[in-house]
Amino acid sequence: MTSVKCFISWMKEAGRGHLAAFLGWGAMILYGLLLIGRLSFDTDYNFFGVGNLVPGRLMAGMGLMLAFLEFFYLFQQKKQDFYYSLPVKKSTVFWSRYVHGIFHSVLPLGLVMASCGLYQSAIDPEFATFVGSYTGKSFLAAAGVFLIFYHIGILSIIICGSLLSALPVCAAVILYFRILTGNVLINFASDYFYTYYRIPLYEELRKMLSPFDLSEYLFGRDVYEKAHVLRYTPGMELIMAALGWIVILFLLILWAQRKRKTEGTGRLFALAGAERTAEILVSFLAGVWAAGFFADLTGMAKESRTAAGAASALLAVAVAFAAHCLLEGIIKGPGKKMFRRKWQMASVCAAAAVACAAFPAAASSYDTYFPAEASGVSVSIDGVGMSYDLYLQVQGDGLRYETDDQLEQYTLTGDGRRAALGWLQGIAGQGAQSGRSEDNICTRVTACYYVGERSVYRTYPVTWDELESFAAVYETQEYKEKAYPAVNLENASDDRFTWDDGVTGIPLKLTGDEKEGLLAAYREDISELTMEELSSELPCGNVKIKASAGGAVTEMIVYPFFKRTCDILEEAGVDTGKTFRDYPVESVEVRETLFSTSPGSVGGVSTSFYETPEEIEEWKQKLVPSELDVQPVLYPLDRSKEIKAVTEDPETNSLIRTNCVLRRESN
Amino acid sequence: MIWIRNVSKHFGSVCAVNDISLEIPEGMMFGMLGTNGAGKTTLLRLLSGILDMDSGEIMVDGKMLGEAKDKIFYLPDDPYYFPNASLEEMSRFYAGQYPEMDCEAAGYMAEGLNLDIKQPLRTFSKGMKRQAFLILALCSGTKYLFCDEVFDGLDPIVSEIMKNLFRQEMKERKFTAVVASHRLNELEDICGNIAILHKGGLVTAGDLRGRSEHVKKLQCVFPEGTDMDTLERELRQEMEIVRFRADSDFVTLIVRDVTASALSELKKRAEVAREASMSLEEVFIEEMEGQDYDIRKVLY
Repeated sequence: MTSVKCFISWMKEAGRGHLAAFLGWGAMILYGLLLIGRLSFDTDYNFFGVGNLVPGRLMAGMGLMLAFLEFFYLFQQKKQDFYYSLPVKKSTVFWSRYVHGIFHSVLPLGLVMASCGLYQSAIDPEFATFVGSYTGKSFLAAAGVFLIFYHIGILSIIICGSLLSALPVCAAVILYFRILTGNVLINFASDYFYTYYRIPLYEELRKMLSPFDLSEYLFGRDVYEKAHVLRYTPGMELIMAALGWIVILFLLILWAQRKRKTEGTGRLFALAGAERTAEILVSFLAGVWAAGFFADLTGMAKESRTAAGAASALLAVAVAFAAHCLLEGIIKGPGKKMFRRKWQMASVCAAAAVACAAFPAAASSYDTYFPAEASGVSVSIDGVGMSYDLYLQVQGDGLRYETDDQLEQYTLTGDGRRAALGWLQGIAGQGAQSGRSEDNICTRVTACYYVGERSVYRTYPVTWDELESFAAVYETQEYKEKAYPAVNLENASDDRFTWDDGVTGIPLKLTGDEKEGLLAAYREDISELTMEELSSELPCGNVKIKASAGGAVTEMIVYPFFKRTCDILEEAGVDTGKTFRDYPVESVEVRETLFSTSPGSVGGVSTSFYETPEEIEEWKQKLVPSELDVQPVLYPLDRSKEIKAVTEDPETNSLIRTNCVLRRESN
Repeated sequence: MIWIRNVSKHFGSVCAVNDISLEIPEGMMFGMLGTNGAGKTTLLRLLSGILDMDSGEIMVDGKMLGEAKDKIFYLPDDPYYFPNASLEEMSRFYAGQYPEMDCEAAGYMAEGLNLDIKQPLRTFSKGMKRQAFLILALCSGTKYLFCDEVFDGLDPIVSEIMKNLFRQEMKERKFTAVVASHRLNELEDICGNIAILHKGGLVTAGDLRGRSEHVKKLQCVFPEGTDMDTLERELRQEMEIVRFRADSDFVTLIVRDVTASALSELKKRAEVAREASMSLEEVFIEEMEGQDYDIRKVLY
């Protein structure tokens, strides 16, 4: 009864109605045509596989839809009676549909990918060398995503007896770990751990346990540049996670398919084990999620972690209990044996309470953790070595990308490491917030300690005194090399040097030797630079060095006290002493946002124009080009007004609009 | 031959089939009678391999049920058909499943009943669908045919047509049909053996007509003014009366193991006394007597 002929005949039977074929082939052919259309316009930013998240999403959607199309008969009592009364094994009906679904998705996927690959290689010579590897990797990634979601859909259908329960179960399987890691664990960590910045384990868990995130990473979510996209191969951990999802789900399907009884159709759960598992997992998640939300909403943890932990644990128990009762009510009907699973309910409530209490309990050791023997350390101080706009994003909007970039840039393993660890030990020893006045805190430092294979992140508030003591780190050779990458440039004689003082830019006419001389002078100036000097003066400009090979631009910030550098620049025709005051300013536009300070007063935006010589002269004394605002913490400027100055460039007889900021009185 | 041994089936806390043991002989129509919820459909679904039993075993011709499914055709009360499928398409489908399926015969039978084999089944009336599926079942060539409530809700003419189809096919080939119904009158003229199910259990089963040969039905007219209560009391002392029904002076008696002398005595007392043939209903009443089963549930 399960001969190959019989299996094939049942595969054909699964195709009755041609819905799966229509969906699989129709969607892929349509998508393929759209892709080829887009590729014909541009192959630099359009990708048909890796580098483009759409195929992953398409395959995820197709996996779910095909699962529901192929196995919908498991919700239909009449159809099951019909099939199962025939001289065929239940497993033959099931697995023939399983293969049928794969056939009508993976085959068109392969054909579309191959067609796109061949087409792009015909029109894009750069792609031609990657046609095999890129197309193969894209196909495998798409097929993997399809199988993950196809299996999720099938498992949800097998363990449930009706569509009404299968859809929420399917959504729960997809979202469960995303919520647990992203909305519960990370919420708890950020609320209870004062020094929390990031826990890589949680991020890895989210990446691997959330099918949507995993599928996006398989398609290279963070890869944009064509050169990187074409060479992208998902990490081994991602491949193993995808295989894990596929294999584990397949084994669960295999088990559930054998265990499922025909009479399970129509019930919420067709398998008692699945019902119990769903109750446990959903009740637990409801409890900890509510507790996490509560902690986040009230901010109690900032006042007292113990009180917040106790309140969260109580709330978690209450919500887990309510969720358990609600699920029991839905499954068994209202009022019927609501407490039939007392021990299960008690265990779930206890687990939720323990999970909530674990964070405040571990908070103290987390915050005081300091790996004195770390093999390396990365440091990023908000507002140090970053422009005001980036500082605003990091501080105000909580964006992390600049901090992450700095952590990557300022990785110290030599003399800088020893100095940084010494400095950080003092800060970490302060116990994060205890005994510190908010007024005394000027910024935050984020550190990443490299302990063995692990990266441990912490963020600490920094007082003015501590910032001053950071000079011990700042003035190390290693830190300076990171902070001023121009000192590492070699063989720059063919590179293009341009001087920019924040208002105008001019190319520097230097010979190769003069360029090397300029860099050597800069190295010497940087080696003598102290952090204190950064608070005394603004830069007078910067030299942008565009590499002849690759075109990368390196900036060389020049301060007026860089005697050697300034001398060479003067020789090259740059007036390093020229400030904004020396430019012929035509007008100044000042835009100010006024806030309502008392009842009856009206806020708004006022714009003023200053054009008389007296007014212009007065403004010129106070203005600085905003491009020179590179140390917003060490040399703060007044950003309360948006100022645009129009200057005249006599050489080109043109007008230049420059964004400016005000010097502070204290400056 | 189908052997059912201690078969039980529970749906959660509900016992649908409770330790049933039964033998269904070959080459005959076997009726399965019981009220709604008696377990008829569940037993048929177990016999068809749709459901898995909790305990017990079912053997078909000495083989396990799973190995003999190609000998079984199950016809539910509301059969499934593919969307837009016609009788012809369904017969082709069944031909792929049952090697003995006779598509030509199906077409011939359909023609005889004025059913268009190319017309979609969804356009058929309930009676027409029943006829169509009975044709498919009869033409499948399987040795065993399980029919669930096939005559339910049909008008007498369609019901008779379908019974004739059964009879004709039975003449041509000796297959075994198990027909479940909750009404005795739907089974009495086609089934030789009948099993009665109640609350998942088997009340009785077998050739009830044969087993009731020792029971006689007597129709008597007594002299006018006879006290019926006294008469019944006196008669009960002389013979074993299963049922005593008096209508004025006319009395119908169902008696078990009546002796010749008792019969002679009765004839002396009555003005008219003659033996009448028993309906299956009366046989059932006799059989169910004392078994705590209200047979009227399946009689009317």
